[in-house]
Amino acid sequence: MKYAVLWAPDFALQAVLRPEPELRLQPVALITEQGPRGRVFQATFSALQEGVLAGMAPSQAQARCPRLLFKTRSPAAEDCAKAAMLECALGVSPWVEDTAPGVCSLRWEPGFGADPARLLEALAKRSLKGCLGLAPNPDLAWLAAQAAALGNGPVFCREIRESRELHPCPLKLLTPPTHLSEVLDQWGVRTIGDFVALGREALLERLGPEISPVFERAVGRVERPLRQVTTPERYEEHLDLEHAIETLEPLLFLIRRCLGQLVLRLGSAWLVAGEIHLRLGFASGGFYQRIFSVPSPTGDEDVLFGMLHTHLENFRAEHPVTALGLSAVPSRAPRQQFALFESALRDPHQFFETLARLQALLGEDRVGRPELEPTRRPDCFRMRPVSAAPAEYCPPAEALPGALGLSLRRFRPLVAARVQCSPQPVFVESAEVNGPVLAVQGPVVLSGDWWDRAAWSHREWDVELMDGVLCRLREEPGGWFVEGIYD
Amino acid sequence: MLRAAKILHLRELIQGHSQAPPSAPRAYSPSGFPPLDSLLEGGLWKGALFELSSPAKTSGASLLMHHLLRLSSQQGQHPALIDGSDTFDPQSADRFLLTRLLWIRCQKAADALRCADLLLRDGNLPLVFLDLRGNSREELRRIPAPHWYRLQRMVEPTAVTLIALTAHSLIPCADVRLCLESRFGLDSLEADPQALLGRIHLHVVRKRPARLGLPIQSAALG
Repeated sequence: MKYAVLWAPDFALQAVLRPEPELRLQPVALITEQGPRGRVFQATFSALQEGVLAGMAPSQAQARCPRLLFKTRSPAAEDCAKAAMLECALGVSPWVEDTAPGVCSLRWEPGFGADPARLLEALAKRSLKGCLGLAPNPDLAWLAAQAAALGNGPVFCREIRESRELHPCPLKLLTPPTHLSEVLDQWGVRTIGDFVALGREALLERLGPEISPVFERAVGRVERPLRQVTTPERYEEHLDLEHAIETLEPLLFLIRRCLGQLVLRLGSAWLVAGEIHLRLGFASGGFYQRIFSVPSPTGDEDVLFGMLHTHLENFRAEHPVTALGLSAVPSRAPRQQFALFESALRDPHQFFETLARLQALLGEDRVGRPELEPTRRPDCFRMRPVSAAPAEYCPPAEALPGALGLSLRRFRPLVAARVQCSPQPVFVESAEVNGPVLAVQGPVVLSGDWWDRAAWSHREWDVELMDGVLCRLREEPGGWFVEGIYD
Repeated sequence: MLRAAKILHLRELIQGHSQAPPSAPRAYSPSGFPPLDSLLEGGLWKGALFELSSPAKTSGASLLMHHLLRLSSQQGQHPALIDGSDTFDPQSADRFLLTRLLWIRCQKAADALRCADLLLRDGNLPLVFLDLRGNSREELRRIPAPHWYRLQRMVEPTAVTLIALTAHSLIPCADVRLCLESRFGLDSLEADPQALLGRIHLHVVRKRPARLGLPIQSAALG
């Protein structure tokens, strides 16, 4: 049996630079926190060459390298990067362990298509650079991955069959305790081979029991099972912005990048996006959150980006954006048979984008399907958004009550009127209808919610005016109104 | 003189050689309202802009609109109503229609035209009503004529039927202009809608030359 360890060196720095991979070639330092207590935690190769070291204060590092860029460590970004690494590993093997930040171990099964180059390439597509070590047990594989990082080849992968192959490697790969490392250094023990050659008993006698696990790692005798992880059910990308964003274009640029990563990660698990959750954090500490339901679950980046773009075009905020969170609820690609007598939409995505634009123009409650409320109060309904889900069962047209008579065209709001009565209406005066009354039907007394504060009551009259207009009048305690015109 | 003769000769040559490509037959689907189908020689034209004007406030225009919307719904389609002044009453409508109708509630004519623009570009909905009867004359007069020409050009290559309801003739480039003149009394408030449809008087004010053609597909197959 063989094991592999996938390791992303400087994992915290790589996690923060994932949305901006071009910064890897520039001097960038990752600090632990903002403020005077912050210290350099990790740095790019360019920064290290300029003399920036871990543990320095930012001011010291800036003095060494004036053009140094600072990024703050982000636990949220590390979680997203960890999830991306695990997805890569799960694409190769079902037995994956989340060993440490930036390190995952997996059981290597070449018969199932596990290929080092493809795994590293998949990781690179997720904007992470990694090294791969292959060995008969996980701990040796971890040493092999670290040894691979020391290599000069284009592909950072090393396979070892026995621990003896690691003897030329530096002792620091075994990560001995600091005080023991200093002692060994004084003794001139620099490589793993020198260390093993001293012998277990001699080391225990001189350095104590603390050296025992280090020795076991060096000889590769530790056999342990992997603590298997399960496939993540949520796909997220998070960005904490160093500089607040005030305009739309840079925000869309970052959203597009995050969306690209999400689509890639979903695709590797043969999933598509059923919902997209957008969360924007503001400089004031507030946040904005919105859920986008994808009409036909898809992994098409352009379609998903179009939905977000359409919504954000009309979005306004009082404070600049300082954080961006994007997550996708995974779904299987739709396999739906269209109903035989149903006319399907020609292009569902285009249609729902059009709906989004209509809602952005008029408001969300102004576009949709009217649904009557279960009440006798006139003009009581709610607007139901057009759903992307398959249509619920709807009774056939014959089973539903049809309309009777002429339809009413309502005035919203009601039009105030002056009505002369004797005692029935004989003359109507209003902004919409005027004239003597030819015929009257009514009154119809309507009331409801008498048990509630929202109790209502009024009388309705249907009148025909001399000029042929049929209209409905409402008589309330406050006065008369024209409710609508029959047409 | 010689130049004028040359120009005339050139014109005759061009007229003799250039021939417009034969037009594709116009597609249409039966509306389910026989008087309208007979006026239109088959049914509602696809890819056409209709104007249905009704000078009287109670003329049966809404009745006809509800009938066409209901028929479209029963055929498995999803019709749309762009309500220019938010006057549609769901409580007066057919319950089945409400399950399928896309209702767009506007307050201004300009917004209604923008919505029409978006729906025509979308092209997914085969029947779109644009109700401008509740918008004031002043507001409608402010709509430049090129806006209507642009709508007409947009609908032409599609399979969408756009029907604009107006209180008076407004759209100079409409493919078909119809006028409703009917009168109803209070007895019609409880009459059967099918019977009321028979009392509607509809006539064509103007119609672009209809091209002879067979219905490409019946309305039931969309």
